[in-house]
Amino acid sequence: MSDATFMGVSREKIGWAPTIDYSKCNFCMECDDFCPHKVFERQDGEVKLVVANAKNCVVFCRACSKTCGPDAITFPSKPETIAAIKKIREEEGEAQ
Amino acid sequence: MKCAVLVCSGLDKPLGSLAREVALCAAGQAECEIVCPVLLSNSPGRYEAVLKDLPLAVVDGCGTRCATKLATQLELKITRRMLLPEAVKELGETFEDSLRPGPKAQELALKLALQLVADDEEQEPAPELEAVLFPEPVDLLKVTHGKFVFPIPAEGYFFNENDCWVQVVGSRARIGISDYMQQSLTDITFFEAPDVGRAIAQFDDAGAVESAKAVFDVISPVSGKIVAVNPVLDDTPELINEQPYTGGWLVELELADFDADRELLLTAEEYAVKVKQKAAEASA
Amino acid sequence: MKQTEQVLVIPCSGIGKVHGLISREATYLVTDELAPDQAGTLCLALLVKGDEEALERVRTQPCITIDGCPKACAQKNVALAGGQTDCAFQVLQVLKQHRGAQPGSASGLNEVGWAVARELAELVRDKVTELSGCEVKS
Repeated sequence: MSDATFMGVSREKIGWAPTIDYSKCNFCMECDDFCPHKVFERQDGEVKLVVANAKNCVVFCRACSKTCGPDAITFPSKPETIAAIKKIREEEGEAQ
Repeated sequence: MKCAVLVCSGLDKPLGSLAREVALCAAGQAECEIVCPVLLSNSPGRYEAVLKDLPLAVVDGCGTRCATKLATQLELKITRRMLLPEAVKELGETFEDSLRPGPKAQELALKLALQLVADDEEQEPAPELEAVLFPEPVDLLKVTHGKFVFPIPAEGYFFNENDCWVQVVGSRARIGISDYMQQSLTDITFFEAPDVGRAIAQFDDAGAVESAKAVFDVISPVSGKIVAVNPVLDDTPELINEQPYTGGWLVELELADFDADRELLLTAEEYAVKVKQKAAEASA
Repeated sequence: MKQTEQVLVIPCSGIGKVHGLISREATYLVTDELAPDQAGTLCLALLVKGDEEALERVRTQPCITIDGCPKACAQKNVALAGGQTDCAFQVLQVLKQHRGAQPGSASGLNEVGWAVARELAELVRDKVTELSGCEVKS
């Protein structure tokens, strides 16, 4: 879905995705079980879970972090994300 | 409050063990009756009397929400509910990563139990709220995808791309989820309402809608102060499925700056295009 | 996650009764202490709710159930899920031998309770060793 957009902006340009704090994560996989958009991916080895498909993450959704017992999932700030989206919209609006 | 506490079995996860500890504390503190999910599932008759006499509190240790799902499946009315990862976070606490709750976890369990069985606070009379009449939509746009139809009110509503709508009347607004989203979620079992009185920014969470299938963060299309939560959803959350744009509204707000919010919202036509795309992607 | 070789030890949910707590503690003793590599556990509520992964595990892995009372919820639900219980234990089998002794309460075991849990855990461990010896379940 390379042509996916959010609010008229290419999804690729929006940095909204979870970040896993591996000093807290206990790899319980709750978030992966929860997320229907396959943002996370399990893998072998010491780090058993990664954010593999950041662009699948629904912009502004933070529901997975609510399932996280050790509070290991963080998201970018919403106001900053909104400001960034607005800026891109303005720039692209001018370009057209 | 004396209640029946349906708790998840919580065997192989630390927060599950904590859930069980919370139930035991609740039983000790308020003579609550503990309801074992496995026994309830196998022989519901065993708890018939208890569930008839007492309000039901449900405690889930993890996002799988086994206890909630079981209660929903048996069509039990949930009076209180606690999802532990959230409840622990709200208290600003951390929990020990152990299946056997130590002294600190037991202390935490007691705190949570007291919260669970706390008597309803004397509700302060809500500040006089001038009733605003939100008109029903007149015309509906109908997006179709295969055998599915997703109606969208043609006028008077705006949408964000997170499938939430807003209807504005003067300085007041109601928000809810779109027909497309309610169909994606399937049977809705619960609306976790935000606190009345809280000010939220555009795109902040305004509660969560839960179905057996998923939990959906309600992303507010507008900024403002929450002045009311739809009172009938506690008893009839299915209204969100049945009347997503009218009777199943979620939250009412006093708007902060709708002109600014409007810039980032979609009209019915624009949202219809999005729904068509989403439906196509979902079935791809 | 590779767990196929593991023997599943599944206690009853046993909330609110000391016998249930014994089944749970015995399970933890086996999975944490006595046979951490050979044994794992599974949440019974998850199985009852029909979780796909849980169903798959009881159907493919050897199962030992530990029940707190004769209602035998653990054993019954493994069967309902289409799993095969290779060995079913009941807390009462062991507790009987401690005639009349009180094992503690639903929120905590006393010395007797722990002794019963440990005795039971050792029986389970022996069975785990036996079952994990033959890796493929017939």
